[in-house]
Amino acid sequence: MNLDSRAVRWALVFTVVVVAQVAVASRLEVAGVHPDLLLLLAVTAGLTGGPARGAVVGFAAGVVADLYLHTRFGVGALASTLTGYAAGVAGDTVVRPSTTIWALSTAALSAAGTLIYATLGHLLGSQTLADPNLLAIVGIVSVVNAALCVPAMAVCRWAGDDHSAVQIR
Amino acid sequence: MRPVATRRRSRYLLVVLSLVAVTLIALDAGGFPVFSGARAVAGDTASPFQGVVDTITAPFRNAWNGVTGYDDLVAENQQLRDRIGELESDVVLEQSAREQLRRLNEQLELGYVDGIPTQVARVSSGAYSNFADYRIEIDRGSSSGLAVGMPVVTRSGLVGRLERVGSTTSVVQLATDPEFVIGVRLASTQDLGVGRGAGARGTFVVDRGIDLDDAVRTGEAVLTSGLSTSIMPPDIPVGVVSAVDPNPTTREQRLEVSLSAELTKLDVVQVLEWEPPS
Repeated sequence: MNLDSRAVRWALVFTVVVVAQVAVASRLEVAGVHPDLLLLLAVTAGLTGGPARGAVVGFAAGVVADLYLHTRFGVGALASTLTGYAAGVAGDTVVRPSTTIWALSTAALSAAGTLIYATLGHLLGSQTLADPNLLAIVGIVSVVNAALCVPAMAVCRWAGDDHSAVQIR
Repeated sequence: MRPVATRRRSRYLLVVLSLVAVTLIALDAGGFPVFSGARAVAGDTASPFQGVVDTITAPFRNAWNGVTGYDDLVAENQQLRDRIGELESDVVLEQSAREQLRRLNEQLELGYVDGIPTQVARVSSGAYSNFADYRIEIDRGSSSGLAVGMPVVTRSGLVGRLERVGSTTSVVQLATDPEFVIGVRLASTQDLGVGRGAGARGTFVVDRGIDLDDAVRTGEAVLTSGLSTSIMPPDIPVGVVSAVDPNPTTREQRLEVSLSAELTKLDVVQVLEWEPPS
């Protein structure tokens, strides 16, 4: 599969995820918290493709998220880049992949990504760490992303031409 | 385990992308206008998709929100029952209150939105962020004659101001945003002060300009000041004073204000076609 078609597939994935996030996920709330599909994309891209892909997809997902957020532009990009890279490093350390391992990894990385975003936002004056809903946001985003990790990883493998589902790293 | 060269390349990539992101943050902090324009375009681009997906998914979203928000519905039901009881007892006082309000309006010459053209807009989305960002999006933009800085109100009172205007959508900065600062006036004493959003608590505070000597009661109406340099036209109801906290150190009083408009349940708003003096 050449680079062009891979780029087209990633573009398609991003378009679908952004529309799903903006038009659907942002309006499906549990305790006032909605799923964060762009963060899920960064995490699963890292888990399936390694640190470099995690960082690149995370950066792109963060920039897209920044277009729809009202905090300082670039905060989402930085948080997602770091999260995607960390997901790639974590994915490389998994010796025996299983659904449970992926789900737990996705939950932990989603929690970390949300906290990184909150910390960066707070450092830039957004009071995000003081948000009374912080624990609920971290918890619900982690659980929802963990529940969606298997299809999301399949999509990332398809887009990245990565058939590592049967590989042992 | 990946080869050393690959890992080194990944680290290099991380550093480069992080530096790019930090550069974006710095440029935005410096007021680089491209980001505001890009966000407006993104909002306009998403708008048609939202409309289509909204129509298709409305039954599912309603069912989901009905299930997940059941406790809230029960609590809201109880609150409404309590409110009915309060209103029934208030009927006795209504005539007196109405007369007092009429006299107050006469004295203050409340011309709330009188003479200012308005645009009715629908709230097209709440916050995209899970964190409180004190912004909403409305389905009107520059093609309807809207411009940055225009006040946004409901029949109850002040909601906020237009912060960003796209072609067909706009972003409203809510009055609860700590960075939302306006001049205010107390209705009965005409004392002037400066108020701002109180952030996560969802209220508004007046923390400058009200001296210790000024007599302020809870229930006092708070309006926009309408001074010549104000970013708001005069006499828009902001809310009522819910708590008064004197500060002997600064010799001023800090007023907590319950906003008149219910910002968490906005559906339709009005944009006043009034622009602040440049």
